[in-house]
Amino acid sequence: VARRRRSRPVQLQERAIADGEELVVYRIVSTPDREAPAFTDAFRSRSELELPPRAYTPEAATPRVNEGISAFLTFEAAAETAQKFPRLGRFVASVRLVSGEGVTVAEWGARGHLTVFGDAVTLSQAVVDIVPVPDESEAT
Amino acid sequence: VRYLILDSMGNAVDAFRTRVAAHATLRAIVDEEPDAADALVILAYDDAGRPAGEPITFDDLPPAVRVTWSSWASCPSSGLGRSARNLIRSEAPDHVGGATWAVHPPVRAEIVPH
Repeated sequence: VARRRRSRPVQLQERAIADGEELVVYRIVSTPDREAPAFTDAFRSRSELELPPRAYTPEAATPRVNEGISAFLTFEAAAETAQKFPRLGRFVASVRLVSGEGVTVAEWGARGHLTVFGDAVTLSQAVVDIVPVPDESEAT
Repeated sequence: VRYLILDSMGNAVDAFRTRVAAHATLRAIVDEEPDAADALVILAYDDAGRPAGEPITFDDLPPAVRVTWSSWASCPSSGLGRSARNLIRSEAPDHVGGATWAVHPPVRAEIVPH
């Protein structure tokens, strides 16, 4: 008989962007239009959107997770994720993170996946490139 | 391989070393929050961090339990999630009730690792 599952905490090794460091991360977005509200919204966390932590997930045991957004350390991982799950969006934004912007990051989960903590407007303005993702059938 | 549950905003919800654990957690989340069924997906990532295999939605999940007729059985209701209880209910609608799932004629609820 299965036991009731409990939320598991995540050991977040959160760190700031170091002085002189330039970290480019890749976030899936639904529009390439920087002026569109949906573009900035793509950088808002569940917490900022006033969505509560979900039960049975690290969001409940580690609420800090709810205050960040996911990104990847490689374009390929982000693009292939978008191809696998098109509902996420059809574009990958390259986000250039530098020190002094109040942005922190924490790697967890799969290799190359990280949660980025920062102001949504700041993050959206740190986008340096937006690339459309081809359909999976077109990419092969 | 790591299994991530992603939401429709592209945020990782949880990460697992095994597919079974990812399946179980997705079921538990949807048991608690049925609307999440349409918003969550499991993706496997290989050791290089690249997605591998097909995404798995809640609807793609195999049943958490397999129900067969047998000459015995009882399952405490507290041990089963809503999806499992619904499965038993659908398989044996006339034979489920009370604080436990002990029924007559009995139904055997077997938890299988999917």
